[in-house]
Amino acid sequence: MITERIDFKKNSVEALGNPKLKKALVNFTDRSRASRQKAVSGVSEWEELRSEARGIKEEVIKNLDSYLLELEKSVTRLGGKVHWAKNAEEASAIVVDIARKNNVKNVVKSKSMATEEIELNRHLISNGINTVETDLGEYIVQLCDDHPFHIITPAIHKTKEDISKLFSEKFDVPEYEDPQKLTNIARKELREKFLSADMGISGVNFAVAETGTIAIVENEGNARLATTFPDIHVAIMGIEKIVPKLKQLSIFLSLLARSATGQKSSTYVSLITGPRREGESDGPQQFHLVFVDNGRSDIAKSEETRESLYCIRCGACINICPVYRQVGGHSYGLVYSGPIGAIITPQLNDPQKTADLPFASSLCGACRDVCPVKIDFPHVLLSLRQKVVEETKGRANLQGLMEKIAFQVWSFVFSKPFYYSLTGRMMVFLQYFYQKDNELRGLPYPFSKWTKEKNFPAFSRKPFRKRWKEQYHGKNGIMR
Amino acid sequence: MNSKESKAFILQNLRSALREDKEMSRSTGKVFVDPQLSIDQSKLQNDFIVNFEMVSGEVHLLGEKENLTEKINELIRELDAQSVSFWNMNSLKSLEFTSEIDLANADIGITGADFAIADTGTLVLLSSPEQPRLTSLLPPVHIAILEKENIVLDIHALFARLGKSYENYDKLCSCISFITGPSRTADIELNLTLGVHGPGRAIVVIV
Amino acid sequence: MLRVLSGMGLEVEFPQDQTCCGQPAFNSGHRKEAEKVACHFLDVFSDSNKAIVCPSGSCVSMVKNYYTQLFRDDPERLSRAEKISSNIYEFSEFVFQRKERISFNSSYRGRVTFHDSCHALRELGISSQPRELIKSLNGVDLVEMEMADACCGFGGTFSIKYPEVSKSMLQEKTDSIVNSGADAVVSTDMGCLMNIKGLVSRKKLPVKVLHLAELLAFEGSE
Repeated sequence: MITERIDFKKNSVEALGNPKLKKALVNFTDRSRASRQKAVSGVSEWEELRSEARGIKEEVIKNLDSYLLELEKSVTRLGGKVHWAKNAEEASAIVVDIARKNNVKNVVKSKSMATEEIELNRHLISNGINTVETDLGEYIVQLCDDHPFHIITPAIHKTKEDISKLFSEKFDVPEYEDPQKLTNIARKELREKFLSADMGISGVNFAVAETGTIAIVENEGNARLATTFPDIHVAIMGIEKIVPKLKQLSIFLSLLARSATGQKSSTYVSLITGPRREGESDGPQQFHLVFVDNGRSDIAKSEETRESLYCIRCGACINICPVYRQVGGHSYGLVYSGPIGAIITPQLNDPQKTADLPFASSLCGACRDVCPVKIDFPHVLLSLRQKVVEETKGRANLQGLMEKIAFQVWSFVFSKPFYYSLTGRMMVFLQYFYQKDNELRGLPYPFSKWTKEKNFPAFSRKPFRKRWKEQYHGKNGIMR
Repeated sequence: MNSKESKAFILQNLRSALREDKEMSRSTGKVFVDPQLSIDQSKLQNDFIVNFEMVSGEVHLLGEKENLTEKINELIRELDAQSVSFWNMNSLKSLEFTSEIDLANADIGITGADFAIADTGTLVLLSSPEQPRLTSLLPPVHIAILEKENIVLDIHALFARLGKSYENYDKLCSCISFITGPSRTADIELNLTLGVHGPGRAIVVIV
Repeated sequence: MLRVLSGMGLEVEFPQDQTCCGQPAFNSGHRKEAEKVACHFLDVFSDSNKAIVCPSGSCVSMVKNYYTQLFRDDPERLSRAEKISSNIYEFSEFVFQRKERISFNSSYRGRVTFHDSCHALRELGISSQPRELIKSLNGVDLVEMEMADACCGFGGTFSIKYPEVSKSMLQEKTDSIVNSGADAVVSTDMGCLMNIKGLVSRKKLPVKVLHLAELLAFEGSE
């Protein structure tokens, strides 16, 4: 839930003013782009995998109601329990309720964007339940009381000096700057938490309707611990995460690891099918699966933007995005950043408060090329932009209104050749005051936004069409 | 909060959203397993080794004359382990150690591997009463014993193979773990570090 | 462009009433206004069967890929749009298809680097054609810059809405251009060129900013 309007301009200007951040972002995006490229080029059938994955997702979303019911049946058959939450508050309340009923004191969590989205930690903690993030990046972010910077690498905005200082303050250890030493400290601290936890919470990368299996993908092993050690496992999933058949996982797993981190396979993939079976010595006694809608069924309604639900949260679009590279994750306000944030956040939240985001893109389309399920980001962004414009009314949004009027004038001029050339001639006259060496500087608002940093080409004193008429014959003269 | 009410709400919303275009899948159902492909088992083994080592895993090939139990004993001694926990497997019955009950205190966990994937260097472990999940997870060192016949080409072949063993999904095991090297993270300035939660060393003995 | 096309022995016609394809409004979410201008575009161009050649990939993509969306509910205009879209070409792809027929008369000598326009590259699949044309010139060396396919930050009204972000992207682009060691940057989109040129002249960077056509028909000495 957001209370204030996300001010992308303010956020981005703030981020741009931080040279340390810029360095981290360039380093991070350069490296992740290169490793993805390398991993993808090793798969000859990459394009076929993408098409197949997209086809499966299209079908899943179209038949989501039946697949949710099938999944519920499969999970229930195994002795698991399914909970349905129509919004964020409900989802959190369900988890708190499970914790209360089982007298849970300590919760360990593995990384899950869905739980970030519903702000689960805040709810658990305010109900007196100790909740610890166990993914190293998330743990660091939690210790600083910060928000994840990226869906795959949440603490990429922190330097090792920052982390060394943080650990030293929190755990009474010297300020080590060796990342391996820092990792070892975290291992020790977190291992204790695992051993004393009575509930583990995880996200879900894929949920198989046919078998009731959930797939969890990770590199650290914290998700394995959180889903094996405590007696209760609660998995939280957005309702779009369904894959119909078990064997289809091979397609999505191939795409996910390579797109996300450039690995051929993530270190750990766990396919969990129900609670612990009879005779087994480990695994949770209780398995709960929470379906979170929180606006998703509304997205499914729009033919134009439905494909936003195909996303498998790999982050490839973020890593390739030239805008993200400048401004980083926090500029997008909520947990999802980059191109996926720009399309998902406005659809999961109040469109007025998130109206900046669909415009936070140069529409370069690099995201569309790397997306493993071929989401046509520019197409979705354009559709969301149209919606924002249509909903701009009255004086509430003066700037939006001015833009609307400007485009109305523009469309009038540009559809009437007479006014078009007249305007051209007027510009030649008006530009006189700003012109130097065939270029314009210091133009008035709103063009000042351009000329603050850059020159603008001057209108030619003799427009092209006039030169054309003089040099060649006739109105639509043909030149040979 | 009423989960039943929410269920009705969500289903209703989805149905009203999607009612008009229920046309079926654009998925071609393409199968990415090539049945014509001749499988050269020694190439699979080599590929597995290359890929597992690439992710900082360690591989030992058991020589023809070597004895598995002896090899494992040797590895344990080399690692200077005080306590070892292992799966209930025939090949480990005559180990010179007894299996540590408290896994949290074990220095090494020894497991089998039901399958391995050559293309990605991945071990696949199926859970069962004899094959607990934590043995490969809690101790700082994980040793897995892999029979070379169980190496498959890629993840698509693996799922095809799983499909064959589980014609009836009621019998699907509670947890299938894919393990590709030691536990790792790059969360600190993208520096690769090992053993953040799971084992810092992953060793495979190929039989 | 005129010189290149007529140099290829082609008849060139310039419909005097042409203005714009409507993309600026379309990309800003103002569909109605975009539609008005796009209708005018159709009126000017759809009567003829001649090839339409355009100096910007972005405009071509608008007509080819987005007119179908814009005129979805207008069957008459939709069919005209479809006819036009099979008949409209970005300059470099048009020239490259006929490259056997021509030898370019460019007096340019030096090293140039090529900037991929996002829409030409990703919406029209144009990447090798302009490079091949550059390489075919005598005395011109093509040197690739780092991340030639990264956006220059223009993005239409994006550069006005978020000028700081746009500028930061452009700064990276001009850095790669300068670091490539080229003495000119060439592209095939007027939007990118205007953007890049804007900063190059403001900062007085030692590179020329040229449209591919300007390079192919370069006169005089640099």
